[in-house]
Amino acid sequence: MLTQTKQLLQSTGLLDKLSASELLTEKLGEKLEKYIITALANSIPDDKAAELEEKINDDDPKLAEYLKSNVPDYESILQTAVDNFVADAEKTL
Amino acid sequence: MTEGSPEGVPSEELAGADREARLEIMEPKLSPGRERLRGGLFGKKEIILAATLLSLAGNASAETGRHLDSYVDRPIPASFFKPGVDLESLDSDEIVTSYQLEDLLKERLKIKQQGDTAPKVGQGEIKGSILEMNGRKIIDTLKVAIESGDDKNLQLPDSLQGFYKRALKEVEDRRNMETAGRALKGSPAPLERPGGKKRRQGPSHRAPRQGNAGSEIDYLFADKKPKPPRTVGKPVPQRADQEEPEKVASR
Repeated sequence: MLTQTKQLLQSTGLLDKLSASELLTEKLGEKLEKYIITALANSIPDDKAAELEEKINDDDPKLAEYLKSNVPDYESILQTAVDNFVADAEKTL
Repeated sequence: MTEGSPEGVPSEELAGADREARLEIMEPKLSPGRERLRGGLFGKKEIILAATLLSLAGNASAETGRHLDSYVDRPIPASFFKPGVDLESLDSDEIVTSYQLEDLLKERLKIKQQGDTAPKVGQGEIKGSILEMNGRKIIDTLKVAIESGDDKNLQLPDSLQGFYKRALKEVEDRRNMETAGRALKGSPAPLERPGGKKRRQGPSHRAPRQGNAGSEIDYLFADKKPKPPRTVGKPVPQRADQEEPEKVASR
């Protein structure tokens, strides 16, 4: 699991709350990544989607800045994705 | 549509499954036509997750902030300061951490430069606390490297040079205090370390300031240079066999 995924996961408090095993932590990390990335993929405006794909394919080093500038309400979308992930995980587990 | 709500699953199916299996059912909903884009973003997830972490650190609730604080209180991995490695050129997990740290430093400084002395709750305070803890840990880690001689191989980014100088000074001060302590106990202690600086003497020597990484980073990204350390009393003439400060600093 990526260090930053683990940091995000720990920041949610889920691991403590669920007394998560190593396997469960791993699975939660994968799901959290999926929630965040799906939220971003859904939120990029249609007219920017092709440009974003190009930047991904070109390994643009400023990808994070591009997303921040071009995804409307970038921070709240990320926060909502994490909140939804936590709510869904609590409901499912 | 809410981002990432689970698809409907019969509750009886959930009941018998173990937790790991139940988690498989959670699936965020993807808008039509975005499959390829999501696949591409997955290929860049290191960057995206690091950016997410930084963004959320600035918007953390009190509870999230507490968890972040508990995380950053852990030691920075030793590989963060792997000898002989150019930190800027690597993309391993640890190096992403170093980028996060740099971004946090810059962000913190930006808050200061903008004169925002009263940042929003859950923003400046959390970032500040991450910074100060990490700043202290960086210095402590560098001190270990200096004392073991590994610092000769370090290739630190410019933004961490201020921490390095401070760590060097703290190691030097500790050595001086140890030398003074041995002299007080009457054990044979040399007045000068081999090839080193003359031991400081006199009761009014000030101990190094501790635990305020924020002040150290004030000039990391600014043009101004740090003031030289304060000295007490008359300057001691340099002996010919003394090592020059520049040599010490460039170790």
